[in-house]
Amino acid sequence: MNPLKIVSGIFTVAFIWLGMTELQAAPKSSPQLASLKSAYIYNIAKFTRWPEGTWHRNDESLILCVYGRGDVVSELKKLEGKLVDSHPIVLNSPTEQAEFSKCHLLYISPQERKRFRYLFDLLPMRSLLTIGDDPSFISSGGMVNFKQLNKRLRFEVNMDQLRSSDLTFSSNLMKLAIQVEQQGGRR
Amino acid sequence: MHFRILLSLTCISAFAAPLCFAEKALQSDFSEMSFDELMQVEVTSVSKKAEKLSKAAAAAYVVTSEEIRRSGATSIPEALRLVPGVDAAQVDPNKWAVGIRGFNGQFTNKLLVMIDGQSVYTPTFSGVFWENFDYSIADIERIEVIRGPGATLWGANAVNGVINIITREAYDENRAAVAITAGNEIKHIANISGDYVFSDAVKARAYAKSKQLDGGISASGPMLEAGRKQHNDAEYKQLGGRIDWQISSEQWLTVQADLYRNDINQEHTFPLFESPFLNSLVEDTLEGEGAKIQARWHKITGLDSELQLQFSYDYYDRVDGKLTEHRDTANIEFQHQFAPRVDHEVVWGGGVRWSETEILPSMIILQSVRDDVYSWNLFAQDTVTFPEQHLSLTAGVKIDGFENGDSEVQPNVRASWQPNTATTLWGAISRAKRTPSFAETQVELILETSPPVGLAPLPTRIQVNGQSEFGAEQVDAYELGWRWQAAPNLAFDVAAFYNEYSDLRNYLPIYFDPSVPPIDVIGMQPFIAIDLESENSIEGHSQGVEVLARWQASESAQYRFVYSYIDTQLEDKLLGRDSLVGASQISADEDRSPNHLASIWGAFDLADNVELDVRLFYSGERSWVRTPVLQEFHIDSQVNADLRLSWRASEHLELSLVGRNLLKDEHQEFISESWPVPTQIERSAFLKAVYAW
Repeated sequence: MNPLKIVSGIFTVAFIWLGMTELQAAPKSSPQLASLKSAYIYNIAKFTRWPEGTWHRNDESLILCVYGRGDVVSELKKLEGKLVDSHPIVLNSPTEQAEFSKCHLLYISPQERKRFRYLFDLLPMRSLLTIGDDPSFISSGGMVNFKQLNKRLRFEVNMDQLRSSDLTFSSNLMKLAIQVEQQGGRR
Repeated sequence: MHFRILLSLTCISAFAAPLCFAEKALQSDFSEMSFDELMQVEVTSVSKKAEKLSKAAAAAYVVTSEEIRRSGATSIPEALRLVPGVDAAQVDPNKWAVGIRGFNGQFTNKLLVMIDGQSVYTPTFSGVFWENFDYSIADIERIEVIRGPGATLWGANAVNGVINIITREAYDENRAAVAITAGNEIKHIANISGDYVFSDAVKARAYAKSKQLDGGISASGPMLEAGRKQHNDAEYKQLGGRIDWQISSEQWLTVQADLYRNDINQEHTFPLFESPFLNSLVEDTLEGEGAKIQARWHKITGLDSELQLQFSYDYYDRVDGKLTEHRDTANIEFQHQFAPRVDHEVVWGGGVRWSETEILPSMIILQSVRDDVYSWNLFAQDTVTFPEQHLSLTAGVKIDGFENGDSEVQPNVRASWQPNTATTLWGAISRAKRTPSFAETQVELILETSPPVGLAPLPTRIQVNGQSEFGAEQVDAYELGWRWQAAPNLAFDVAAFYNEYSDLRNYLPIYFDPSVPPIDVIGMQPFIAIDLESENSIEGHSQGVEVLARWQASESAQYRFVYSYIDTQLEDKLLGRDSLVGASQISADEDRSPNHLASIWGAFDLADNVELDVRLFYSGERSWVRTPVLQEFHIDSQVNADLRLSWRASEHLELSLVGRNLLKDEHQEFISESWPVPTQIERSAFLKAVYAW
């Protein structure tokens, strides 16, 4: 018999067999990392206290800003209208410096990693919660950064930045966080 | 349950994917979950999408580092092998022919190949010496492959495609890795790399690599026996590294350098200038060495503007029977990106290039030649987005200019429309040029010799001559594309193109009076001299379609299906289609690339630390004719397969077993276009161990 036939037969069987074993181990859901990160951001916002006087009315918006593009940014759009305490989330992608001052929370896409430090120098940081997704985010001066650990999504909190800001994280949030001191001591 | 198994079998055996994704597309809304629940969700590291290209109005594909790792690639052409629309064929154990949208050959001249934005093709023949172009494979971050003209932003030579290899930045922590590979065809590959963080602002990485490949087995050819162990084994050594320095919060500098030294054995059928005056088997060693240094400076000049300045210098020394050459090249380029108004994004820039070469006599080039060339370029491109209409339009132009006052204008217009978040439709019209190579304008190469026949008392030699009047080749390309995320786990990418070529190169004989044939004396031996000259006389078109489907069948199984079709129709405008003279080039351009290419790649996570990759690939037949001798070349269509099984034994150690070309003991994939000795590639296997800490 032609070896080609034998081997292609083996491949076909392998494909089918693999298909079946996959089905038996049918996944509960296929976790989409981006929507998981978006959910984390929503939850982190819920456990963050902005300084007194940030909002004058209870139904004023929480402005969630995004900088850069990416699948997390697309997922964040779905949070629009959801409430943090009583504040509905409004999404914004600022392009000018003045617009950033209205942001309560800023997610910066990892594609913009070269701009982290530039942004942190530019922005009023005291009451802005910055969230990133890159190994260099914390050392560049970011506040919260996603990290995968043992197949789970975790997040680091830059303690130096947190202390020097006017934001407060609830103790529940701190329990879940990986607390890190910013290396290099910028700021 | 029975129904589901049945459905699954249908899905897998018939690959009737669209019927099947629905049952697996269960999505939970994470934002309704509590933090404690979120913390329990297991995440599989999904390969990062290069967002920049996913909405691009171009036929683009990004080979991620994860794909490169899972393919088991040990060289750059292998990493390109199953990329949609790319025809990567192995010529012999150490040489490759890589083509996009037809015109493939060992000396393909219609692609622009770059590493970190720096062109690596040689102006000597407008192609890439793939055998001297290697890198530490694990340090490649991604390979961007653009099918179709990319001339406006990328540069000359991007007629049918652009391949841009991007190496990774140093890590933000100290790390090191050693990788050892050994097998029957790969004698060994040893690769060591390390990353070091000097300070908050300065980090670096370095690598060293050594590689040794076994020779192949000869295929049958004119006057060549098959099944002979060939003299084409090879040894490679390379080292390099880069430093990334963040000078301040708005500027940074990258400096990178690489050097290599290769000893590559090879066989040719070179013309003999003594009896029996035939092209005969010659064993030879290619000694190649080269080095490159590159510095890139970025400055952020605003929230949406950026400046980039790049300098590079490289040289190579190449000594073999075909070509003994030393070439030095220096380049300075700048690029400025800014948004003059909301919804506009402008990129403009320019550069100057200097290249000097000296070719010394070899077995087919009998006279030494020197040359140095200055050239410059300027480009500008504006992308306008209309957010309300989900539309974006791009228009751009690039001008390449040369010392002699010639310039080439290369414009393009692109549009992309996103009717919904899952769909992108795009179209493009562009013109690209391929500037003449050194060989086409100045070099004389002896193609073949033949013994005296009939009334002719003297042997004949056929030579091709570069001609200073030879001009640029041109393509006008019309492209349409469609990307569709049918479900979270199923995506399609389809592109269709129609390319109109003009002024493509042919080699046509210089006519002479047969009663007084020209005589050329080589050594002491007189020959009847038949000279062919480069001529911009081929025109025609190609059309085709490329299809990619990705299906995440489950958390642990991903399938990728690729199919591409191309049909190329050319003719010589001086001689027509049926003339025997000058038909070689047309035949090779049309039919040395297969009409159909297809592949299936199944990537399975059998357990948390066990991966299996099964790759089946098909390539249509290649057959072309060399005139006027009517020598036929034929390579059958073929199916073959690669397998990779890997086991992550610990946090530090990964072991993998890779099988290549498993379906046949040996097979032939390609025949080089000039002075060829056909080779068969053997089935092979290798074991790889990576220890990282």
